[in-house]
Amino acid sequence: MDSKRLVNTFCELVRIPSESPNDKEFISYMDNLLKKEGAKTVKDDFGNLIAKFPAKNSTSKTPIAFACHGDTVKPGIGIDPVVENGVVKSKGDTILGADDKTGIAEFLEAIKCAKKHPPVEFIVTRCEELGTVGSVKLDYSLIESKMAYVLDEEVVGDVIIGAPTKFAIRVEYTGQAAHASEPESGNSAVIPAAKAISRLRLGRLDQRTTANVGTIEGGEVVNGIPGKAKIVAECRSLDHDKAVAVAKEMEKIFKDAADEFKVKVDVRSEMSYHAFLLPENSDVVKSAVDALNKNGVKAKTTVITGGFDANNFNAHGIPTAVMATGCRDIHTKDEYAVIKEMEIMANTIIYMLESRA
Amino acid sequence: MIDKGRLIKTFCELVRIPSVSPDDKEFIAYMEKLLKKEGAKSTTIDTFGNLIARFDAKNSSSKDAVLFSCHGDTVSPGIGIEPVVEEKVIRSKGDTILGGDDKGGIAEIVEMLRSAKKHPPLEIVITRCEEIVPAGAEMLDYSLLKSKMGYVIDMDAPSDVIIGGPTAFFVTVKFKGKPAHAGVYPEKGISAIQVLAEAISNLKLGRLDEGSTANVGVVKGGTASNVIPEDAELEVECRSLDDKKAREILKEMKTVFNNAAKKFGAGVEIKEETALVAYSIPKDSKVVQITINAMKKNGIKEDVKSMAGGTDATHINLQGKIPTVVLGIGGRMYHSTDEYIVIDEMVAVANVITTIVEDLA
Repeated sequence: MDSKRLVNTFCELVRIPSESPNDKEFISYMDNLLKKEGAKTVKDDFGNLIAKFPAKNSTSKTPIAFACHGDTVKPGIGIDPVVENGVVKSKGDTILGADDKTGIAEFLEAIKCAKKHPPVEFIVTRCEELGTVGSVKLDYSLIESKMAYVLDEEVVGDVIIGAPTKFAIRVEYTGQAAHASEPESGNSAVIPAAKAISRLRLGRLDQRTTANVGTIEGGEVVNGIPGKAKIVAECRSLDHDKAVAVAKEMEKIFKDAADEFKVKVDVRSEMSYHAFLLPENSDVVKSAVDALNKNGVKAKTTVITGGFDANNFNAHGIPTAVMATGCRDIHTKDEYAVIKEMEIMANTIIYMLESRA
Repeated sequence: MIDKGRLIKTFCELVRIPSVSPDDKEFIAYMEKLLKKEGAKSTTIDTFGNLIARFDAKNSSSKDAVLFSCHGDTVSPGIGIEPVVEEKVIRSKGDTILGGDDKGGIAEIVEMLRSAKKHPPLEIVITRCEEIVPAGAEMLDYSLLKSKMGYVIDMDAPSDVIIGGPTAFFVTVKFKGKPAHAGVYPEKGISAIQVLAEAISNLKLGRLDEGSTANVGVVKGGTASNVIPEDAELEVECRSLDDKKAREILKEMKTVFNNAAKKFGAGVEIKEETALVAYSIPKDSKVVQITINAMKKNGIKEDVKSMAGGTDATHINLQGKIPTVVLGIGGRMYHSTDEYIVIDEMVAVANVITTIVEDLA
């Protein structure tokens, strides 16, 4: 493993802007780069990139997949990486883009260095930051691997083995606006909204389940009966069925309040991502833990509450864990990458590739 | 004798002069000139810019001055008003308001000045900024007025006689919760939206009794779906023709807000503002009886009532010196580009106020 090359590759990658959804140019760049490294590549209809490396010094026919997202959040144009004191950071006016280009750089270094490996699939998704859109639309028929690793997240050593199902619920009540002094001519949209919220179970519902009303907005002037009220709520649970049940319960409460107060309501409930929970003793988890432990960092399996491309991979029957890549303060201008952790991850991936050869 | 053609001409001249509040000073200056030309003995513009024009008694020995007041400002869109005179009504061209609110009233007062054969001393007040806060009538220098009774012309129909208005309170409430990631540490958060919802659920809203209403006008809170909202605020109002009742409702509302905050351990900040103060003029008072009688003489059946909103009369009556009722202008659909004024009703109002001043002479 060549640390200097690893950091150079990373710096090259972050200089190419790829703010979602404008990440196609970066995907093309990756396409060329991966071809140069010896992969055959294909793009699916959405533009996700799938690169296939044949086995090297190995007769293994069992492919293994790694995946990163190619897009970044804003502000991600004109990123100029600065290397100092063991970290890489931006100049301060942009994010760094370490989320998720550290993962890409680490994989590239690993595939270059691994002396042997089984067939490897490397997937670069689009628009992860918009709500795992790329991996929702990914053409899974193009993927042969029966297990995968999403390289994403911050502190190297973390292995994420579970994440929740999340529903985003948008509610819009429509009543009848009128002057406040003429209540007979109006019908408040805010009252059913408030009644509904007061009836919701919110906060932590059980160890694996949460619910929240994030925003409310209604009315225009103090002396007007509000004709509109909008609510954005969510619920999530590591137990998929539970998330579905809570989302239904919330929808019903929102709708019942509309009936009760004779206003119209539009309730849109959408699943943002699907839960997964990998057993600690599964092959995919054990391999990651073992590889990290052998390469200088104590692995820590964890369950988180957000969503990743891994949620969608798992939902499509590919057991997929998330391995952190060595970045910090992501989605801010203070974002930085820890070079030492990047080296550990590159070595860890090499180890994983070689041990499956 | 009312001259319909002259009344229409005056009206059209007045609405062509833009006076969207607070840019109504040019119009006030125009009115000062016009009223001087009509024979005002003296005019004063007070520190806020309201116009007071005084007329001596005409063919009358009465010493008791009578106040007639209209506001000079209009709402938007009120620039470039082009009145279109149809057979029965006057409208704008459709891209602006008409400005009949309240220039119809001013035109009627001017017509009254021109046609009344006799009248007591008159004080004509044209206020600024009735449509915004602070209203000109709130800032008016009342020490300049000597009237014993007054009329604000600022309602709809010629039969309207408004003898009461409400006390109204506007209240802004800010709840302060505690933010936390909704999916990770919900235990660490306090949802300000939940507090807000609890409070609103416990408020009595809508029509509370014949003269009282309450309303939540605006709610706003939170930043993102995955964050337990730290801040939520609402704007509520309550109003009642009975000042005491309005205060009781306000007190009850504040208790509800405080209790909701307490229940969830949230902070609360309540800011109240007195928007209107109630007034009520007895039906048997002179200002009302003279009006009813004048309407009868002109074939109009009076419609004596209270209103739920405020006018300049709210501020004038608050001074407690000049019992002032509100009469109609003869217009409809104020504050919209569909606003229009009914020509016959304008004539009727001009006739009624002419009769009033002649009867008081």
